[in-house]
Parts: sequence; C-alpha cells; structure tokens
Amino acid sequence: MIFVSQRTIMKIRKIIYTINHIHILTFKDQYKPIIAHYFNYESLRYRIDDENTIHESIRLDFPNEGFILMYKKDAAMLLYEGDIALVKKSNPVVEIFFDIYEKIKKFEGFVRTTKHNLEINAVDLDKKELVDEQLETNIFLKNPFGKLDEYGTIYEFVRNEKKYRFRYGNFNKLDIQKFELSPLKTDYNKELFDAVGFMSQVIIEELTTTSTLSKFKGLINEGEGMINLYTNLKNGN
Amino acid sequence: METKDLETFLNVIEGDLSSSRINFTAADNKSFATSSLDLLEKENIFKNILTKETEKSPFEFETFRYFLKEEFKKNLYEIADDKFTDSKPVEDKRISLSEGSFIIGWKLVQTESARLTEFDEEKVVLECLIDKEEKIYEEKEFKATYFQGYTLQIGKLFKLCFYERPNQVMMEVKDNPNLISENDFPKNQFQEKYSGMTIKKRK
Repeated sequence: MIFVSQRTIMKIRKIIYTINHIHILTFKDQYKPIIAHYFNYESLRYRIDDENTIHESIRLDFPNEGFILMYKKDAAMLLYEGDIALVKKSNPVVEIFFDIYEKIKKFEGFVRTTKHNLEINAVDLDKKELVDEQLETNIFLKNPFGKLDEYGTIYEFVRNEKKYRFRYGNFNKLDIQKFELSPLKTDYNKELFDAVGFMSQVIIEELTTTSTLSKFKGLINEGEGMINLYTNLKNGN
Repeated sequence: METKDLETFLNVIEGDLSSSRINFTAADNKSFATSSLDLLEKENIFKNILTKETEKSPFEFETFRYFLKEEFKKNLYEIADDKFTDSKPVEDKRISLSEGSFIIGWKLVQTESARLTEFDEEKVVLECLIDKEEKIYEEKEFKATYFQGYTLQIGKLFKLCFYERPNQVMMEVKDNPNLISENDFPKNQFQEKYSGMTIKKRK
C-alpha cells in the first residue's frame, strides 16, 4: 500500500526528520571544521551541548526560516515549523542539512546509515461546536462515557518494510506543549494558541543504508497521504 | 504505562544485562515515547534515575516518561536564548519601514551553486545549478562588482545565497569551496567516454 497525496486537508505544523547511523565515536573531534563553514549564513544561531563528552552535539537554528538542524554521534535531525510547501520544493536549509550529512558520511569513524524516520504533526482548526460534537459522538470511537474532554486513537502497522504509526485526536492548546508543536514560536503557528480542532501525527520509520533528499520528500508525501486518507474516511468522503 | 511494564523493565535492568539493547515503548491517550537504549551505555544513568524515582513512588510515570522523551530528543526543544551564540557578528538587524515598524533578520530563500564560465571587466557569467535533483542548469549574467575581492578564473565555483525580508532582497556571493560539491558540476571525462572509438574519414 502506498499513500499518495496531492494536498493535505489538515495543515502540517511541524515535521521532524531523523537519520540514524551507527555511532561515530570520534564525532566530537571531527564535526567542527565542516560545520564552521556554514556559520557565514545570516541569522544562524548555534549551540553545543554535552561539550567534551562522547555525547557532544551541535544544534543550528535558522529561526527566520523555521528550521533547527542537529547533529550528534548517532543521528542527524531536521526540525521544521512552517509551510510544508516550502520544504517540498528546492529549499536551501534542507540542502544544507543533507550537505552536512554527506560530509559526516566521509568521517573516518562513519560506518553506515541504519534508518530514517519522519514525524509529521498536523492540526485542523475548527469550530468549538463541531469539536464538541466529535467528543461526544464519533464514528471511529466506541464511547460509552458520554462527552469526553480528550480522545485519541493510535494505529500501528508495517507495510512494505516500513513501520507506520498514526495518531488522531482532538486538539486544544494543551497539545501545543505536549507535542511541542511550535518550538520556534513562528508566526505560522500563532493561530494554534487560541483555538480548538483536530490533530494527527504520523511517524514513518524505514530501515535504509542511504538517505537522500528524494527519499525525504517521498516520506512527506506518504505522510500527507495517510492524513488525507483518514480525514476523508472520517468525514464520510 | 502499566505497572507491570515498569516492574518488568526494572527486572531487566537489574537482572539480565547480557542483552545490550532494549526497546521500550510507552503509550497513553495522547503521547508516547519510543526509545532504543543501549543498556551497557545507559545502565548507570537509568539505575540512578529509576532508583531515585522508585524511592519516591514507583508510580511516578510522568517523570519517567519525561526522562525518556528528554533522552530521545534531548536538546532539540530547548530554546533558552542565553544558551545560543550567533554564528557571525550581529550587525544592524532592524530596519525602519515608513510606517515605523521594525523587522529583524534576513530569511534565506534560495541558494545556488554556480560555476564561472565567462568574465570581463563589466560582467561575470555563471552556470547556475537551479535544481540539484533534476540537474537543471541555467546561465546567468551578473555585474562584475558583485565579485569584488574574489579571484576570477574560468571554472571557479561560487555559492550564491538569496535572502529576503519585507521590501528588500539581498544576494550574497560566497567563494568557499567547502560549501560547494564538485559533484554539482561533473567534469566531462572525455578520455573515458571516447576511448576505444575511432574517427573515420568520409570517402
């Protein structure tokens, strides 16, 4: 089963893409010379954590662009908060992420990539009356308890050697912190703070020895497809 | 997390350590954490945390889950300003618009790798890589003043960075070879391609 989508019905608010690789024990001694070259970009902020330990990691924030890049001995992570359309076409910060990762792959201690995974968080804001109605009666929920304050359903399955986890539930402002939907506090997600609606979270994990820009975009399209499939079904389409 | 799961987990930690990996998944109504932990590496940390927590109460799952989330995406969500450093000296980031409002910071909107193909005193012509995946190139002409201070020679690689903020655009030319991959501009291997071929005369 392949999930394909043209446009997401729910608005994607945040994605986290992670590439895992076998631990590079010498990571902390090798990463600084290659990442330093990227310091000449405007508005870039950086932070080094667990310095001088084997867990040393560097985090690069592009707050104006809505990105956080993080590199450590066993993973490279990209977090994006903003319009997903800007990531699906040619994006300079996404290119920087993969450029740096390609350079890390040339480290002496690098063995191989093991897997990659993508987490998508989408929220659809709606009228309170409609949300309340769903909390009381919902075609996907056998609810003997009457009106609920919260609900969530989780689906997990494996298809074509990929693991999928899909969660759907109601959304309110408590979920912003719980799911860290707006870590960069962007204008794009400002509307979440005073609203209710529905949210979905998709996590796709795939074992792989190579991670590329096209695979990354492929996972985004798949995730969007899953969200659309579920939302359409729930809405009776 | 069920009580039984925590007890089982504790038994594994304190019991059989020959297994060096453990997969742990916790799920509740609205949140979950998944972590694959190397026990040999994490043993001391986990034992201390678990011992500390179970002394207080064996059912303080909130703290335990928070720890797992912290470990899984450690340092990803902290944005305390005092922990960050600007990567280059902060120049005047604020501009004054006619309405009196202030904007901070340029937004990087596009970068292009480029190779110099032609130049003279007034202009520089670059072959720009527009789409890396589709390998689409475009020839563009720029004023020579944009390359002031750089040594110009045919084949030299540059990185063009385009920024914007309301009512303004900025293009920056970088000649740092570490920002550009030579694979973006593969050289024609004529010898490899044409070796073994012969040129025939027309009769």
